[in-house]
Amino acid sequence: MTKFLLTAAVITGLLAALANLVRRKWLFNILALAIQYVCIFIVFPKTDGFMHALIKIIVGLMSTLIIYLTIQNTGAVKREPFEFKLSAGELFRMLSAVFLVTLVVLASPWLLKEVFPQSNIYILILSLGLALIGLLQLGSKTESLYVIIGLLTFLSGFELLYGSLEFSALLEALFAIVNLLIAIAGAFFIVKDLETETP
Amino acid sequence: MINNTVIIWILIPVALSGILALLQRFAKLSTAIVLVSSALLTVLAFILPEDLILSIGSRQIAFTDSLEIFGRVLKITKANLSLVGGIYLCVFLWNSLARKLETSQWFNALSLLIASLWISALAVQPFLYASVIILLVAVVSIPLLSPRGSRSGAGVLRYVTLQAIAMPLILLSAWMLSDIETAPSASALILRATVLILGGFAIWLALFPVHTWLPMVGQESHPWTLSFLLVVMQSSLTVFFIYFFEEYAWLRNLPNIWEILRWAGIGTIFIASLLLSFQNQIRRLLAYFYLWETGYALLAIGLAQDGGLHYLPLIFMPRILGYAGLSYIIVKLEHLEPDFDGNINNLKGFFHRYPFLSLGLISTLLSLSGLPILASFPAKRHLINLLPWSGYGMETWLILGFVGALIMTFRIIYALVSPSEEEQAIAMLAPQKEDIGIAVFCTALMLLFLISGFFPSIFSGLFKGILAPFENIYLFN
Repeated sequence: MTKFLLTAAVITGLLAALANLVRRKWLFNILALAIQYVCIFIVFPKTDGFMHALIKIIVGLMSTLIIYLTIQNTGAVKREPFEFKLSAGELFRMLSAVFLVTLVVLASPWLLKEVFPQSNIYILILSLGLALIGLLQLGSKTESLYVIIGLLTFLSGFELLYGSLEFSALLEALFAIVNLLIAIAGAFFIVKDLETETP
Repeated sequence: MINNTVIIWILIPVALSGILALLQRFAKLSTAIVLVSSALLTVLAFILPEDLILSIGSRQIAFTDSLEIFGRVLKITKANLSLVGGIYLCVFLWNSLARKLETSQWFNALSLLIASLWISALAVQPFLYASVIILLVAVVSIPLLSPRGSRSGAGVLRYVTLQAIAMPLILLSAWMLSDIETAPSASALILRATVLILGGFAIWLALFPVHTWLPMVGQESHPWTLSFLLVVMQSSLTVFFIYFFEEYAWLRNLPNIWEILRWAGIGTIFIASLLLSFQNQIRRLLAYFYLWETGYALLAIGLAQDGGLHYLPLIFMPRILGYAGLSYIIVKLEHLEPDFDGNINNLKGFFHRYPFLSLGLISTLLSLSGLPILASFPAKRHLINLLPWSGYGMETWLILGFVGALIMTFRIIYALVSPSEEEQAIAMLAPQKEDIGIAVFCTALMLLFLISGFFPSIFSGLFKGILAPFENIYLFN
């Protein structure tokens, strides 16, 4: 059961990140970001109890909420009808991400044995997958909302990996502050762009 | 409780910045608070004696130097106080003109917060946790670099993104380092940790080719704000980089590490100079001079075992003067000439209309380029003299590096002294609009460049203590 749950969380988390990379529908992206944090909560090591994993999900969902509320209140990003058909750019991003995730899945057993023996295969696949998809998003998008989502994805992947290697309360507090400030920065950019667009 | 160095130089400024954020609309009050507090913090940092016991009349106040937060220790000893004083000196200097130069209304609060964050980055133990604080600094800088009323620029987003990428590199190296203590010298761990550390620092220091955010931010952001962020970042990162060599014997004993650093420094100087020589936008000069100065800082660290680090404190004051001068003059030129598009070729006739600003700009560029009798010359001359014989290799690239910076400087001088097309008649060449503030600032700047050039020890004495925490780095293998 645990293995099934972990596998499902890893797959869902990676699919959510992939959805964020490929599509540009803000409500869909926000939802995918929230799902991503839930999956991280499931996979996060719980050897010292639930508290650390709980901090991650609370901070993650709060960051998501900050971005959601900003967009909702300002109407900064227009709601567009959802289309299933993929454009060439979306297809390219999807294939790049699939290629990277495949590489991560193939390299993870070796990485687990040689570099990160303290971690486990589920954490390694989800964390490296999220970090690489986040990086791809950072490199392929320029709109502030999507860059911020890319940053949060990249950092959540790294935090998951680091959480399996070492725990420090100070570091956790700093990570929480950084995540929340990045979300606030995202909100700041959304409002600012709206102000400059409005005559 | 309050006589703790961490509380005084980190927690109180953080609390003050919170108060200043609430008072941001009261420009005069907010500026007065930040000026008084930063002046007090600067003076206290420089006058506190070695034993951390301050005598006021018959009363003695003993200061403790560490504080535990979340199970980790923050520590500011006397050895760190020179840099702390230097950072708060920058806060004081930049805030004294910030409101006049129409920077963001958050500048008072955020400059104090950023200074305290940089100090906490240097004070936290284990010191590799500083990487997250450095990312925090980048995120906190966003409202300053991209204030409301302007579209969000790609440069700021790229800056934050790169800082976020550098953070995991350094943190993972920290985790690997815990195993290195017991590993044999040729271990693969050492190679991995070295690659991570050097990669992380290359991104932090904005070395080529990850420097691209610098000119973009230079173009998008307020020059006065940017110069503050750059001067504090460069000084802190340089010292932070030395910490690695001080702490880790395996790192400083790596074969050819010092030569690699020297070449990295010279390469950075050359590339900065090349980019400078082709630059047309005056706002981007600050970005490329930052890169140029980073090259010299790397060269000084690369020459550490030959005494190069002794000249690092000599660069601090000329750098502060150079960045402050350049950014002030750019802001003033843009205010006085609203039609000026920032293109260097459109500076024609400015020398006749704005003699103080033009002279200030010329002397700033000459000083940053390291020309004799000006502020940067003594440190740069000493560093070049320390270069080991490399069969003309390093010397050639360094000379080419100077040529590029000089080409830029002389292009600006040529543009400044050339009369503009509409302004051919001598009668029109009367000075205009420069107020007494500009005259005083530019005259003081030129005098300080000359004083620093002729008597470098006057200002270097202030920052001499920056090297106090480092002893091991001077040791040979």
